[in-house]
Amino acid sequence: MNGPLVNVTDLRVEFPSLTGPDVAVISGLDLAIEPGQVVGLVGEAGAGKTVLARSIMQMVPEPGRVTKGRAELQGEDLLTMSERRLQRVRGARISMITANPRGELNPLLPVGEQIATMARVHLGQGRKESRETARAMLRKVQISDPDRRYAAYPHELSGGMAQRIVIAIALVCGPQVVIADDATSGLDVTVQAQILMLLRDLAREQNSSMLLITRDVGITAHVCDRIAVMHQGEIVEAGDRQAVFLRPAHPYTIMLLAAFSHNKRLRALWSHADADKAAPARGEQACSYVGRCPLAQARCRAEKPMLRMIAPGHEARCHFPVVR
Amino acid sequence: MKKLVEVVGLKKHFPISGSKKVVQAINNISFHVMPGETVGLVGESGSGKTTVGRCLLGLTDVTDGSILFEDQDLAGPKVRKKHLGDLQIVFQESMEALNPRLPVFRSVEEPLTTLGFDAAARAERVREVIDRVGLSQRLAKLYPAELTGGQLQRIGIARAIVTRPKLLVLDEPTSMLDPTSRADIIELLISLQADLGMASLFISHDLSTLRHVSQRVAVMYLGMIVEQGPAREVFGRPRHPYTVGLLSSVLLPNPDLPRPVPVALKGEIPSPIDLPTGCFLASRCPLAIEQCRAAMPPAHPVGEDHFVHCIRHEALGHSDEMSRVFDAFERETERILSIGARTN
Repeated sequence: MNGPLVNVTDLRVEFPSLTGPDVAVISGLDLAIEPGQVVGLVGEAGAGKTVLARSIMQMVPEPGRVTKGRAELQGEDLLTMSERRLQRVRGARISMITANPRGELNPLLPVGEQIATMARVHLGQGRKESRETARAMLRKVQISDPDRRYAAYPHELSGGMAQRIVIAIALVCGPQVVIADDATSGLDVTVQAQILMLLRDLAREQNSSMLLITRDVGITAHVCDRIAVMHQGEIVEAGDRQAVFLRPAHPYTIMLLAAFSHNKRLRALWSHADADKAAPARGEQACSYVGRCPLAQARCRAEKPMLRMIAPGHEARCHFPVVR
Repeated sequence: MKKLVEVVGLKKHFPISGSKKVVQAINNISFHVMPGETVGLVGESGSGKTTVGRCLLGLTDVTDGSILFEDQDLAGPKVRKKHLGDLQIVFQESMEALNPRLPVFRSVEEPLTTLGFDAAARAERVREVIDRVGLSQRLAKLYPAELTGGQLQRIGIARAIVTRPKLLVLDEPTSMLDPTSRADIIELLISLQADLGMASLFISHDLSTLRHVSQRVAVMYLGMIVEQGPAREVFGRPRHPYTVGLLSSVLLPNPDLPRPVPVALKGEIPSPIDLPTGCFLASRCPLAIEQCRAAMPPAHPVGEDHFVHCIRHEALGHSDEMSRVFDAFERETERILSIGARTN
């Protein structure tokens, strides 16, 4: 196949503001996911990661709206697709897993039935066949005693177990892309890694691509092929995981890594302790990180940097990237 | 030196309404905190670590056992009252811990009102702690909804230290924060402790933080302390399979480093309602043998001031691979951070 599986280009999502003009939560965003690739999207709370995921699914929460750009799945724009057609795509070709598995499940329906429903609706399976599919899926997500669990209701399951059910629902139709939005943050630490590895292995097995959105930078270093770093609605650095974690170029990426160091002096060099995080550099003309950047120069306030290549397969949105 | 806090045989059971069963949140734990010391209490959610903190503060009564503060039982008449302000707590969610209808400085002031300070002394102390936690006085006049997560947590800390406590209980103070704010808050807590000489009980599931801040750690699982000892020892050469499992779940942001160790725990923490006889970890432990299910393992000393509740700790062996991975990460990260920084 030529071209990326998912191709987001020049995406802009705006939310109205009570006090001023509409606020662009995402602007000029490009993101490509190749077939079978696991892409990690990292950044702090408020960077726009979830809005991006929801834009791809055409599920931007009201009153936000996509005002520009395309989000293509195999060349077909999802943003202009009819609702009717979207319903055939969501769940079947793209699926999503969120942080709150219990909120995703129907509390009144046995969990096995919820998996089987997907197979009936999207794969056209009959009652009996879909039940078999659901049971097989329960085994795949390593739920013990799948026959008994099939009939369980969501409230009878632990958080980790409920998340396994949601994963089963997301994967049962063999989607081309799975978007996991903070899928493990509600789980215990010993379970988080377990679930993510399971999710990645299952996705690999059926050759699904994955967009893994998380605040937990550590997880992405071990699970993802490619990393995109998001800051204030823009991708500021992207590259394979070796490049981004071992040769970070954007001061923001370096600051995120510095948070894991216990070396106070080095942390201080990369973080602007006095900078007010809530106050972004407004206006399109400046770099969005200029207010917090320890390397900022006059040019950073005057001219917005573009995402440009600094090494093969490694891009940064910075006038003065750190070169190693 | 005299112990500041000593917990002996603490138990806490919660009744379940309409049932004779109880939730065994804490099952016979003992530990102590020396003055000025930081003790880390680590475990998954459901392990009972928050309940330990709440028992210390008197926010919930205890089922059995005793909590001594400066050698006096806090359950004794008037003892709790005498030590009002000596024990303080910082909650996980400051947004929920603060009154949404009060400007935050009022919340910081409240403990002083309870202790009977006059208005001038209160204002003075509040100003001082707001400065100390690194917030501007202007921010202190705002309401909780107007502050960011990091700022709120600073207010939570200010409110706790305003009485100049001898013991600070920190209940997951950073788990709701971004990594960047988390690092700032940890740094603040360390410097506060150095300046004010408080002891603290740092409750967290974040092992890399605890490894850094605490002198001693106690690892909790299903209401029991399964391993307890000096932080360097417990994290460097863990002797309990659960500690090893916890450590191996830490993923450091460096793709070249291996995950600390391959001893992974199976499944999830069981319900604390019908606890098995024998070792609570047996159902998840890769080393479990028949004997593990027969009786609760007693404490084995495995080093100076280092105890482990496991009959298989010798089978587990002990390597310092984990500390090597942590240290390698720290070194490698320092190397990465050293490049390109402006050091004027």
